[in-house]
Amino acid sequence: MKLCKKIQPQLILYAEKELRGNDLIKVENHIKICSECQQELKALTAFSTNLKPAEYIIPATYSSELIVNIHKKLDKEKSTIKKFIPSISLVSAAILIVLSLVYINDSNMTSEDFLLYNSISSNDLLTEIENFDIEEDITTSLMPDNYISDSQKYILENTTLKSDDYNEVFASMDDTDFDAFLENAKSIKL
Amino acid sequence: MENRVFNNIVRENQEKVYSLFRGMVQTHEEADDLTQETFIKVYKSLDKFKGNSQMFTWIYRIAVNTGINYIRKEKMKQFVGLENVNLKEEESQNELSSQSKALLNKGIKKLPAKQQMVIMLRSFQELSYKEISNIMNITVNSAKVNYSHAVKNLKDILENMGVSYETL
Repeated sequence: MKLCKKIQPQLILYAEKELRGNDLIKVENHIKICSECQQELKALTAFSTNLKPAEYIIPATYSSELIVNIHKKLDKEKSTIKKFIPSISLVSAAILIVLSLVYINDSNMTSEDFLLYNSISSNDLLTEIENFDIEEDITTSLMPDNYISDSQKYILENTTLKSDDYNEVFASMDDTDFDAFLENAKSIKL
Repeated sequence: MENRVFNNIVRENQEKVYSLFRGMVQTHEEADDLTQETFIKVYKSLDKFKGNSQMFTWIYRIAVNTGINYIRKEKMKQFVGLENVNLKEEESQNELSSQSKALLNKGIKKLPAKQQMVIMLRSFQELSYKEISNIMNITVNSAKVNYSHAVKNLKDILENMGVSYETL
């Protein structure tokens, strides 16, 4: 059974003829004698064969509409006056969030209490966070150490990140790191 | 940069990028938004493209990161209770051609973000592991391991939902 657990994750690759060397020999030898893994191989092969997306049609005019819409957005961005006030409000919002997190940790405040206390909806809070231009000190203070790997932490600590860059770092997290991120978020009682 | 050059880049790659997102989300509008977001990022960072990889690999990489962020933001929204999950499920069942595809979509959404992406790239876009490794900036072996885990997990999730792989 122990061997089955090691072999089964490789069965789909065996079916796709993607295994080489020792891995291939081990799987081949095992499935000759293991009926459970033979069945699993059959099931996984059928499953991956049937794994196709739903059919959809790309509208005929999509390409030209897409280009127009992209340029509209780009033009809108270019024409937006660089505002001075938002940078002040962003810093204020950051200080509010950091102080609130400290306060929540001290007071065992629930997320609902927190939102009522600050008279903002959770939607507003999420929008605020998503639209944030994240600066080095804010990013690192908002994210507990174990949310991110050492290399990601290094990047965060050594660069001034704008939101797009932050998204790239966020996307580079492993799934397990992201799950840990969510688990830690739960423990913040926000 | 001339708009004409950028427009050609969009024309040449829009179908692949749109298809990647369309397999991932329930509506044309969501896929369209993500496609636009991807090409706006492409526009803004074209000067960073050094030609070390093929243009489509570079664009796919931006699209995959955009997709992973989207999936994670959706998970965050569900976590803080902002997402009306039932409504989304109803919409998907109305739009997709069969109920089994809607269930497949529901099962895929339960996978971690990167596993969802690997399924999209391998099973839906039929890319090679080498291409997936270049796009996701991982080794070929990691791409294979990620895919095998994703397929196994998805099969288990669907079985727990009472969906048979034979009817997909």
